[in-house]
Amino acid sequence: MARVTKTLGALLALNLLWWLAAVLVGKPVLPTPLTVYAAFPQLLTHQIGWHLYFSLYRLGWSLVWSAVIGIPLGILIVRAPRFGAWVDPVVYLTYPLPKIALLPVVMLLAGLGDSAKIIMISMITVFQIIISVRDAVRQVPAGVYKQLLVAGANRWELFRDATWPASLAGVLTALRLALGTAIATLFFTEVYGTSYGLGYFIMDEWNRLDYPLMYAGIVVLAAVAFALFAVLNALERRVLRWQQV
Amino acid sequence: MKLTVAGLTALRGDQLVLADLSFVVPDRGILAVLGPSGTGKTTLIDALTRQLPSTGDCRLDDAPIDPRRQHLAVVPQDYGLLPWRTVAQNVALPLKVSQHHRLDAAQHQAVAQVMAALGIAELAKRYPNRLSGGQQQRVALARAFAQAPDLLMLDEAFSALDPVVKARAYQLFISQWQARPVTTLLITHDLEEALALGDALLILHHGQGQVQANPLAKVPLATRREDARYYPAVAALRQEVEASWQE
Repeated sequence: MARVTKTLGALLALNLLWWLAAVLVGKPVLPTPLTVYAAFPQLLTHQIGWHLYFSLYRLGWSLVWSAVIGIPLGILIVRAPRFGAWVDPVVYLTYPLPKIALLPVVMLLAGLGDSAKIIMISMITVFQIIISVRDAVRQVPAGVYKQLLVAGANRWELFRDATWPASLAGVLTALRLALGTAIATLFFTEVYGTSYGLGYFIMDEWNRLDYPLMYAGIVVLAAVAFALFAVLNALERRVLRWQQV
Repeated sequence: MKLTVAGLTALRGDQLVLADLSFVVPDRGILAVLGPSGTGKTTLIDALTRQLPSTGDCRLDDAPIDPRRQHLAVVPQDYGLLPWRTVAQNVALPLKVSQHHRLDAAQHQAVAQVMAALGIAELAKRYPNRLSGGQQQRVALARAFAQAPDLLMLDEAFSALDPVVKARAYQLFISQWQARPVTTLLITHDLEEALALGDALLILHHGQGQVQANPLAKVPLATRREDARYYPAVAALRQEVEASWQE
């Protein structure tokens, strides 16, 4: 209950700041919150549902692919040291590269459709997952594996009882960190080669000089991000109960 | 089960840690292995449990030691609890793993009994990070005894406890051990602990050592630390150990 009250308080404060800025600027480019909220019903006639669907579709598949590739790689770097000796330096070298600069190359190779957008977002978030999972698995106390081996554990039991629970902590941490980056990249990739998606909607309204609707699109995008963060936080509280003090 | 170790040699990296070590622990005996840091005490456990390559012959009764065929239990200094499992799940873990299957009702009951005996029943649903050091140690002891092991190995299992908690931990260990006697290796650097709990002593030095009788072996475990001969025996052993380690 306290969390809900605090969140509502922060939301109110943000709206007040927004209102104050709009009054001080006094230009159509920054409408007041009430003007923007008044434009919300128009979102329905502007197919906001489809825009939302395509954005979530791209975001969802990007995170799924990042997890499918990133989790096994993060685990193998630690648990298969010979494999890790080859892959870890590659991750180290490529992680800091600004992968968004590869967008033209990805579009040339994968086309202008959803594949290029999903590949682009995955390329950025997969590194965060690999590194978080790798670090989480590395931090498993040696005594944990020792206890399991002494009890006669097989490979599956070592994975089920030690590696997987540890990597899950890394995955959820990485997803939380990667979500912000993923949404920013999603917005960027939806500016090109599509007529659907929240990124497209916001830029389209900007081009039409319909600022209230443009801001309404931004609010929807922010709400999506907030909702996904809330889902991840709830998941983390449930799955990582063992970390709570 | 009788533990027989013959010609055990083990390396850590390039360093020879155990050199042709041989000893026997009779069925339901407690051998206290003494030695300062770096003398190979933990290496001995790692070699016996096949965590570390070694040469030599290590048997429980007539069968070579194999964690997949016998029930082995280790209580390490850091207790080795799985942070993502509750107390009850940690205690039940070796049983579940060793049979590669879920516990049946009788096993659940056995786990609950050991937890109750060690005073951790009310902590069953807590995670290890919510436990004190003493509570974690009791969970580790419960995990060891719940599986009714063929060989119990305590690796500095009491050394992280403060004196008051340690005295209580000794009592709990003794009561559990007497209820379920098991061949035990007690690895420690604490002379008092070795004399209080061991039937026999093995002073490790440069990876070698000979078993010698504990002068207090005939005094019951429960009253040994109150016996008049306890502190004189500790003093004598201290002299002997210091002389040995200074060589």
